[in-house]
Amino acid sequence: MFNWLADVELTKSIGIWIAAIGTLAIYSVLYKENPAYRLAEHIFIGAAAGYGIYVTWAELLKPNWWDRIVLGQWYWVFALVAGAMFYFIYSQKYVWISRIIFGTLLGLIAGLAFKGFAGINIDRIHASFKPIYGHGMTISQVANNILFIIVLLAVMAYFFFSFEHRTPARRIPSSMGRWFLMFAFGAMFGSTVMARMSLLIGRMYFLLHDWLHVAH
Amino acid sequence: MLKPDSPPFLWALGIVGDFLIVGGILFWVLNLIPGRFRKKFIVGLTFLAGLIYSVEFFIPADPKTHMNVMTPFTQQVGEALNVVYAFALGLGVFNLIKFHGTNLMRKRTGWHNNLAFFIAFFLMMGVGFWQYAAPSKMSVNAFNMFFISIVAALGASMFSTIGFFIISAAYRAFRIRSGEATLMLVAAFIVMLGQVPIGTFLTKGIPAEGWVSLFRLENVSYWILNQPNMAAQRGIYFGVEVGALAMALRTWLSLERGSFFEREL
Amino acid sequence: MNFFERLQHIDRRIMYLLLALVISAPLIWTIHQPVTVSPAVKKAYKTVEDMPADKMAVIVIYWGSGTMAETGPQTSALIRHLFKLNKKFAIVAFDPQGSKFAYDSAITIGDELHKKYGVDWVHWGYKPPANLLPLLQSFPRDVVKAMVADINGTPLAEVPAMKGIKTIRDIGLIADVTSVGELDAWIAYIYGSYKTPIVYCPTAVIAPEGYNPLDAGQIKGMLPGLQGAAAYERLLHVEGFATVAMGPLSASHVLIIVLIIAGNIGYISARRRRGS
Repeated sequence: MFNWLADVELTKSIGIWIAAIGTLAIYSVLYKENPAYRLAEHIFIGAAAGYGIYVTWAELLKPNWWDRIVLGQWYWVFALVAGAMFYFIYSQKYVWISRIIFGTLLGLIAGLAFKGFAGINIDRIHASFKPIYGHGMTISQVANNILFIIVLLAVMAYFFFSFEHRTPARRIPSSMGRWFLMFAFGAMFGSTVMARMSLLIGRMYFLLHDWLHVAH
Repeated sequence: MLKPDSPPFLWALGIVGDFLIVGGILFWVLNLIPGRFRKKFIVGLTFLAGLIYSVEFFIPADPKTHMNVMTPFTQQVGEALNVVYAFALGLGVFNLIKFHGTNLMRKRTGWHNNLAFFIAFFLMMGVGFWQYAAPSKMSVNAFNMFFISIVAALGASMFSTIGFFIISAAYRAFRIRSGEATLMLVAAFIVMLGQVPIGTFLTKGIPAEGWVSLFRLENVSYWILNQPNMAAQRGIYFGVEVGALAMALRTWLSLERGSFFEREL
Repeated sequence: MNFFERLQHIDRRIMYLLLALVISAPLIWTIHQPVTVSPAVKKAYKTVEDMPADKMAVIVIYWGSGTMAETGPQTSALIRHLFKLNKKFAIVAFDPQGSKFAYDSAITIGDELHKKYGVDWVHWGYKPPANLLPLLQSFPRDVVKAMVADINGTPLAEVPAMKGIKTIRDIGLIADVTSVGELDAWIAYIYGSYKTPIVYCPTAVIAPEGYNPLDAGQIKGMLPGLQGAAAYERLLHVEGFATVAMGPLSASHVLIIVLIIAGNIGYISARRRRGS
């Protein structure tokens, strides 16, 4: 009954048709909310969750946990005990047991903050001290470095809330910082548009090339 | 005594048995802690956990081995957490099953969607485990077919609809109401055009060499991203990093007031 | 309401239709457009080229089906480049879907370039994203012990590609292909301590943030989004999906700009009428 599954080309074709119908069902929401979109959405969530379970076992738990226990490292059962503590979050009476594991993990990650801060910021602070004159520097390098210092200080001034922005000495850099931030946000928006269009082009390419065979 | 080549279900029984014994003992011990000491216990545990990595960072390392007395612990913690976090992934799935299962059992409006969720869930999981346990042309093809046509295709489609929404949102929201909005718009236009071939085409008349080439759209776009944008990002991030360090310290020392700190556990 | 004022009330469905048309047209009637290679992409290319041959590259996969149109071509371009240079690499995934996408991509390109799994490359499997930070503490000192087994469950010590790979000093490059923006973790715990070169391959949404570490020298190059992938394909002299997508990308950007300008014409016109 399932022998057709052994045919690679047939399963590929069926897969493309299922994918195309699903894609169009998702896109139907652009016209208005409808049952086809809801159905496709629920199918995706279910399939993604099922796939996640499979991968978690096959690539994570089996080699890292099950195989170790089978080879004699029985103490890995404690990992299951620790993992089970998460699920006490669903019990009103014993929810505090889940706080033990959550607190421990939060503590572990928080303990990494010092190393993380040093690892990220030392180089960036060092790189922020840019020369504004020197041998061999071109005019554009000097101009860029001066601009960098102005923008950096203005943006940092904008976020400095310890004192009110009353005096011109506080207000002007803060105002400049806001202008520079808007410029940066505009650049970020331009980049975001490219990202979103790329995802859409990917799907359109699938529909036109893989499904309808009209694109090259 | 179980051997490595013993049937898997025997190992599963053994693991469940061990889990129930060890877990049961731990559960009993934890419940012995009086209510008024539970918060202190959790706070203490959080602090001790944080000590592992922070002390390892501050103790000088041996110049030859690049390790100190805490380093072996950090390695073991990393390995253990790999597995512990894997079990935590079930929390999300449990929530989904609970939500969709409740809707299905009570036959709420749209229950057929919840049924579709479960069919897709068990189908994808089943096909995955089928090709894992019994790899063959049939099982591998079935797995690839469902993965590509459902997980990959529908996931990509859902995210791609944002492309449509961004065009209508940008059309409605981008109005030249102030100087700052105009500046933002100009920067967005330059970056958008500079990153695609049409931008190169629009300024192809400008020479590609020499200082004049700075005015080519792709170069202006790159300059915007690499200079003023970069400087602004650095300013933002210095603030974010200091805030993150402060938050991490507050979390480590359990100074953050969460939902359970105000009452006895 | 005159014509110009109506320009700020265009029905969104008309805009959606226009967008679908302007994207479809260049795909159907292919227009070859030159792709610009930015300095950031050139630096990334050079970093991969300069990686010592006796070391292993690590391609980090932190993306799923939602961004596969951008990050898929980036991953494929990197894999192709490493195969062409005959340099070993490992894939490690922090997304279950991305794990399979990257594996299938490497298998397909490997078959084309006659590269064998387990010998020329290896996949370290899926790791939970929440464990990224603890993993970055244990992985540098003992790679095999931290990663344990490959995607098929084979212990890494038994995989031929892992021969001679013990610590972070044997890793020549980390290529972070991500839609999440966890680069700071790699910089903080890997580059900060061991100075391993990092090449950043983000989606275009988070690409502007990458110029900060690029300037500080913490990353050695960047492939920003689909445009970065297209530029990398140009350097590799291949024409993949990223290159083909540049035409529709151009058209869609022009459409958005035209619509925004139209909306502003309508807005200014309405404001003038209210003012008078």
